[in-house]
Amino acid sequence: MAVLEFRNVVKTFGAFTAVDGLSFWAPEGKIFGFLGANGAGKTTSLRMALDILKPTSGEIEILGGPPGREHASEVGFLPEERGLYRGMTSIDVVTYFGRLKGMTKADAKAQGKVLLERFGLGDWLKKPVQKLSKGMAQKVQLAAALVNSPKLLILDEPFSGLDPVNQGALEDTVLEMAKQGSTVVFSTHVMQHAERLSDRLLLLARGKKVFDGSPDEARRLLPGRVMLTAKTEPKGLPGVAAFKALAIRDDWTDWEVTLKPGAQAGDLLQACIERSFALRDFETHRASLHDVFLHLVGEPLETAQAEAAA
Amino acid sequence: MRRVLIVARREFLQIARTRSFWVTLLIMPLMLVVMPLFGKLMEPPETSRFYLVDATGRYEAAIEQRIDLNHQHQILYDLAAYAARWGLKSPRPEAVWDDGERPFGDDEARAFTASGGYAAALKEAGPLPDDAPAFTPPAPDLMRAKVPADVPVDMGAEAFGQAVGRYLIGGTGRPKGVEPAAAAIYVPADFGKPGVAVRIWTSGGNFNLVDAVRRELNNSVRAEAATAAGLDPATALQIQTAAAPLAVSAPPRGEGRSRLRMQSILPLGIAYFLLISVFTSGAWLLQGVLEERSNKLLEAILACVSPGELMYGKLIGIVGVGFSVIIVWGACVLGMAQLMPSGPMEWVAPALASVNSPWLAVALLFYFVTGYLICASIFLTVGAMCESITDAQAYLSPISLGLFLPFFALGSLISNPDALAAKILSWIPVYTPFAMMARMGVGVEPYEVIGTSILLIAFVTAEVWLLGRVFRASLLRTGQPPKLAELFRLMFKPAAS
Repeated sequence: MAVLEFRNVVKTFGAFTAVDGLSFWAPEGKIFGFLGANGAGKTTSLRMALDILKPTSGEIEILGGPPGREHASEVGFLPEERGLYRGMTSIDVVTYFGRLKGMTKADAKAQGKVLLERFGLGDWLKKPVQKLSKGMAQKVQLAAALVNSPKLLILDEPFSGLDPVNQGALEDTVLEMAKQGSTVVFSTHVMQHAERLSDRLLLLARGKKVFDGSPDEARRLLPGRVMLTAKTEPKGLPGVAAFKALAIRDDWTDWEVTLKPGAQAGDLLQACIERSFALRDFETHRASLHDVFLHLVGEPLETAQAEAAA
Repeated sequence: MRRVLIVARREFLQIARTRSFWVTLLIMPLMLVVMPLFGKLMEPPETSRFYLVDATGRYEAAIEQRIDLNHQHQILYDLAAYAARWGLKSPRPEAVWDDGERPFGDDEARAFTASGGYAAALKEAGPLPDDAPAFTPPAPDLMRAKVPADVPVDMGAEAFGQAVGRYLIGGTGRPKGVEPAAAAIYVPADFGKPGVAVRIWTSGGNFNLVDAVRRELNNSVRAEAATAAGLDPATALQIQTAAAPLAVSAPPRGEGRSRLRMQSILPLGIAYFLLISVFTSGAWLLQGVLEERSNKLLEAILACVSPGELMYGKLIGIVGVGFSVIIVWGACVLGMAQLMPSGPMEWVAPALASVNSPWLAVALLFYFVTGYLICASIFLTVGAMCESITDAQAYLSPISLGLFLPFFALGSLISNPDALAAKILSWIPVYTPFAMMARMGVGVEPYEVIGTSILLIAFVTAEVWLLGRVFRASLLRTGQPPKLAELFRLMFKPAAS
């Protein structure tokens, strides 16, 4: 069942088209990653899902209905640009967001306390936000997003600005939420996070969808590669589309082999053994999402990022 | 609605946690304590000293008698006010001190003095109410002082004037320990001849003294002229003191002229308060929205509440702040009135009693709330459009100037509530709450209240709706605040987001 679905959604700002005919769906209980450079339309899409922006055309369905605040009790949202009321205490901020999401004051406060203690802020509950470090404040923000135990957790660039330790802690939280049955939709421009976390991926470039599916499906878009060290060239072996020599050491040559579409590295290895093809090394190379992005968009993510920034 | 109230509550608490809120809250009680003390310090000395030299010897006594009679006038007037306040009555029908506050004639003042003055009057009034303070007669305005020894009195006006200058207030070289005088009068020996004038040196003001001197000298000169024209002195005096019968009556305090004045104080006070508190609260509101914008809070909030709910919540919260301040200030004024029933707070009770019509109270409340909404919506929208207080200043300066206009007009509104300008101001919705509240104390026609109220409701609805569109469109906007043309486009074109 789709927890979030876009059907041919377009969003324009004047002459600029931020989202162009986007269609996808995020399955329940899975982690769904939005991958794309800055300006690809990720934040605009998430804002439309939350009814912060209205689409110019197309349809959006969230938790079985059109976007609106009636879903606030079942949605948690951590925006890319994060902030807190500096004069309020940590527990008051989390309680306030809990109440805005339909919780009673007592429930919001109790759940907020549990979350803040879990994030190591038990001693800081009644301290004003302005006295917290940046890392602590980010945990308070996450607690405010999670306080209502959301069915759908939307995180916009959640890892930006976090140190590696907190990035790891956030990844654990995301995985745990999914384990508990929540659907997590997150946007990122960092391939590694998308690769590590996503059950399903949406690749966006300049407002358009370039891929939608699982990370394995994404990788399968690219031909497989094998690095092997052999005495002779791998010509004529089954599944080999192309090869090139990388280095020669003694009698042995390192070859980079590109497989034909659909060919499996295991079949190639088996053929080598059966044909007594002398091998000293055989290493399968899985395509990375970076390779997939490069393949689909025609430029690496970093270049797209730089173009967007310019 | 629930989310609106949660936003309103947070807004209220956020402001209530600021130091400036508490300063604002405490400023009224502080002023109530400090102002009377300050007033005391600023008061001029009750009695002014003056020097009088009459080289003719003919006018001195008359001038002194006039000054004394003026003092008796003042005692009679104050006693009449005191008697009205505490319900004192004379058993003698001819006594005038229980007539209420009104101007008294010289004959009445003389009769009052002849019958024993205030001491005799209080005696015949019988026992005072328990809570009445003792009557304190006013000190004389003027007191004749002995001319210093080194000031020549028989060498003419010029010599006197030159020598006496240093003994006047503001003069230099006065010997230590000598109290300065407010004025000096010299009647030359040849006064009466053409071109010879009485000379008066003053430190400024002293109109009572100048008036008393002029009056008595005029009387004397006229009497002398009448005698010189052949009238016998008795007839001349009779003509001199003849006065047209004049019956002046004034309603007792609280039921007429005084009451009109009292009634006007409360609405006018609320109008002034509205202006002050709207600007104070507006600043808090503005800071609140700017904080949400600059701290990147808005997106997370907008995922839970709609921009409209956020705006209405903030407006309700700020109106709540306004009410709480007015309640605390009102309680302080009432408290002071209880503690000092006969002090400077004496006007409070009749002012409150004047709000005897529930409609008047409802109208005051209505104008207060609408006035708040008009201004608060503007501040809120400016906050939503700007990234910083510096950006906001560009909008606030012209807005503040425009909104402050009634401040300059409130005084004239109350002195002449039926003037065309006052009526026009009442029908301009931005100014309606201020102008109508200021005018209501002295009475406005019902059609004006109803008409301006309908116009005001329509205006506030349209304003909140149009500014709401700007608010919504501006919340997540980045960069420069919109220019005027874009502002109108945001108001009148369908929202793009």
